[in-house]
Amino acid sequence: MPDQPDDIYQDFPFVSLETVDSTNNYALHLVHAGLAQHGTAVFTYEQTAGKGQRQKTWHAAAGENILMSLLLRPEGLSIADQPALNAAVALGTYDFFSRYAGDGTSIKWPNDLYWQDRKAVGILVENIISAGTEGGGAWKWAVAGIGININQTNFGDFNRRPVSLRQITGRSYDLITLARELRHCVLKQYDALQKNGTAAILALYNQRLYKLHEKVKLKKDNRVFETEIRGVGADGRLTVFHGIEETFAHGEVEWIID
Amino acid sequence: MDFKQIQELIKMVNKSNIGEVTIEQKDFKVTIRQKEDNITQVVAAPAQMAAPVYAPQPAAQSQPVTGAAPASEKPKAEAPASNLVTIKSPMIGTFYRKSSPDKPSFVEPGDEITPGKVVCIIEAMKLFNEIESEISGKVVKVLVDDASPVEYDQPLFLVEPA
Repeated sequence: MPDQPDDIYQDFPFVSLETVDSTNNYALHLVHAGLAQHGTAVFTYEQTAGKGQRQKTWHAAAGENILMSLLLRPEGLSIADQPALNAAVALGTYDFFSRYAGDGTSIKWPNDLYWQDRKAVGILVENIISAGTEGGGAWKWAVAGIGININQTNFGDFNRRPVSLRQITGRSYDLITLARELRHCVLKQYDALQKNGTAAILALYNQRLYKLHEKVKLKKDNRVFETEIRGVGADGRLTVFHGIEETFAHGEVEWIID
Repeated sequence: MDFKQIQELIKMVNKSNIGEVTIEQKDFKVTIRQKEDNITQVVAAPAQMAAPVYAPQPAAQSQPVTGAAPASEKPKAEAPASNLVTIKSPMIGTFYRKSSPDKPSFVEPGDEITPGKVVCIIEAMKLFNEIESEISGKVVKVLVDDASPVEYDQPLFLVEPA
């Protein structure tokens, strides 16, 4: 068991809910109600409408997993730095998960965590931006929703096998203790982003990438092709190489995992 | 095509992003064209010279004056077009008018907005951005279709400031 860190963020608000539609929604409501504080965690045991990407949902058995959103105030960051904040959240989650799960952990572009070839963590970041009439905008808040499979061992009929921490280590865990530790890790990477800048965070993120320098299968339109993962740029685009170098935005290609 | 149908058609074009619609029936042809400033114009012309007695022409021409509320209000509201401002996209991404496909749009033309009101979502690289208005006013027009790509600085909403 890793040492418990001295949690310098322990006095930040930690909201624990039995059940909620989605922790991201709850956190967004805090922002709209003017109640948001940087570093606030919204944790729940059960989500009734867990959010995945648009038109997708996040399913997790009640009481077995970490479902948590963190409120981050992107001070000093511009909208163009969003991929760096995303990298900081993924890195913090990586730091947390790999403490327990070890070397098999990696970050799948843009922000899932894999253990070996199985998904263990989903992250969904929602931002609040105030848009002016003169162009540009002010990035006011980021809500980082993090779903981690912890004690769940039965995932039903998913065609892509997810994995939980318990399946990896054979142990079961206290969710609140782990959720606080997760917050500590993410806020620490956020502070590193503030202190060291976006390039340093992106460099570390790239080192942790799933299948870095390995061949993978991507699908674009209806064509599947093999290509090597080269890294992710400051604009968040994935760079690959197959005789030529190409970059893709998220959504332009689908990653085929056998 | 009767007067009521033309009225319905004008309403439909007004609400939509359709630029121009032409309908031909026998010796009758009507074109409804939406100008950039969204003033609905009705142009009706008999398709054949031989049918001058056919009534729709005057009926259609009177439409902007006596027609449905949206058609008669809009030219008035938009006459001082220089008063209107646009909310522009702060980023490159995909524009969504709703939080999810089964939810209502964040704003519709005619809605009053205030600072902090969420007007749309722009998605980029799996990051979802709720875009809030900085200004108060009335939404006059939504300038981008749901789920379409937007560029940096692209006008999204036409707003009459309060």
